[in-house]
Amino acid sequence: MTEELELFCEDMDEQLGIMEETLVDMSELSIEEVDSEMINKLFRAMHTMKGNAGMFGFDDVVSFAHVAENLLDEVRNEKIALTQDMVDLFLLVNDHSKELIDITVQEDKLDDDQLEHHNDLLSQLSIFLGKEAPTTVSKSEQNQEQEETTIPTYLIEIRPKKSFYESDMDIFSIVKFLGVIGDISDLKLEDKDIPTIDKIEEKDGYLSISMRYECEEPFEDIQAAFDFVKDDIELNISNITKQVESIEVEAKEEEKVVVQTPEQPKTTTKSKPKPKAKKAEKSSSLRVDSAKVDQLINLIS
Amino acid sequence: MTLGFDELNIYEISNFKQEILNALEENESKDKFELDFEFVESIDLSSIQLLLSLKKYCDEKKLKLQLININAKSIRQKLKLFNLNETLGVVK
Repeated sequence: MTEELELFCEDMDEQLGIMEETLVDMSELSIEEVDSEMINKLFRAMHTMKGNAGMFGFDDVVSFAHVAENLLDEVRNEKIALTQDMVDLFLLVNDHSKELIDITVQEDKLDDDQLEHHNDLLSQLSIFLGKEAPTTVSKSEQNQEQEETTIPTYLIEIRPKKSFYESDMDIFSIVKFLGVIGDISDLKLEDKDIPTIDKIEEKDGYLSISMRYECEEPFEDIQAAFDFVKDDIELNISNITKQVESIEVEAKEEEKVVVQTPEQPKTTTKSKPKPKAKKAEKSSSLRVDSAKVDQLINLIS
Repeated sequence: MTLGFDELNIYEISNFKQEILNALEENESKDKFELDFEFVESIDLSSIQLLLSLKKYCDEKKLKLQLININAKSIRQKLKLFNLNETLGVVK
């Protein structure tokens, strides 16, 4: 077992211990006596577990913890009321998480009974999430809401340092984890600083990675994906939602305007990339670095 | 050149670089440089970085770089993830 994996197991034990202790305390109280700090403690532990498992690409642990974390998030935000059944369920979730982590670390698989139990817990968590989820919004309201909701978009730039390579951390696990909680696009490896092989210092870091990232999870969750390596990389996460929106809106407006012009048929205007770029250049008045605007133009087009 | 490494990672990177440099010396009169990945099962970012530096060298020397026999799924996935198949001359 690598040193990193040992640290991971130690941290998981700690988080699971916190959860167990909190849940036992909660089960000894009446529901009215359970305070928000106890719920927050559970949420933080589950959140840390999910983030750490993601760092190692343990997708089964991540997806399981994600559902449990969602329910805890709804409870802490008072969108779903805590019940004694829920506390009992979280005790089972805690036990199963231990089992799931052990099995995953040993690169083993759940047997049939364990898998049935796993799926059963997931459906019980989902029932709590589904049953209590607000359902009073009408269909038209829902559509309207969907149209108005913009998924936060980020530009993530990562430059691994020498220490990153030396610690044998896996950038692919981080990317994989980000892919679990959001959508990655335009992933690029920037190699302009790399010397030729006869001149390279092979353990140094010359590469940088950039991606466009859409994610509805809190910003802290995205940052947490890099917790393990934060001292070993240069990281820049910029929220580009507004810039993307403004370029999209301008592009849409331009489409509308051009469509209304009788001389120019719709099909021609929609497929023309040039006007979009022109408009996007104008958005440099948003005080964004011009290189970034260029990058955004590429992303949008 | 057939690579004799199961894993291309930071622990092997110096040997990997040296083997490539030796092979490049022997390859001087040719117009193509081929790396055979038949026995390689995994690759990390430091090795991808080294392959990109090899590509730069090959471009300077007007050598055509080709990576052949990439059987390991994880390697294929990583190269695809960063759109490197074309850049590194992966032969399917």
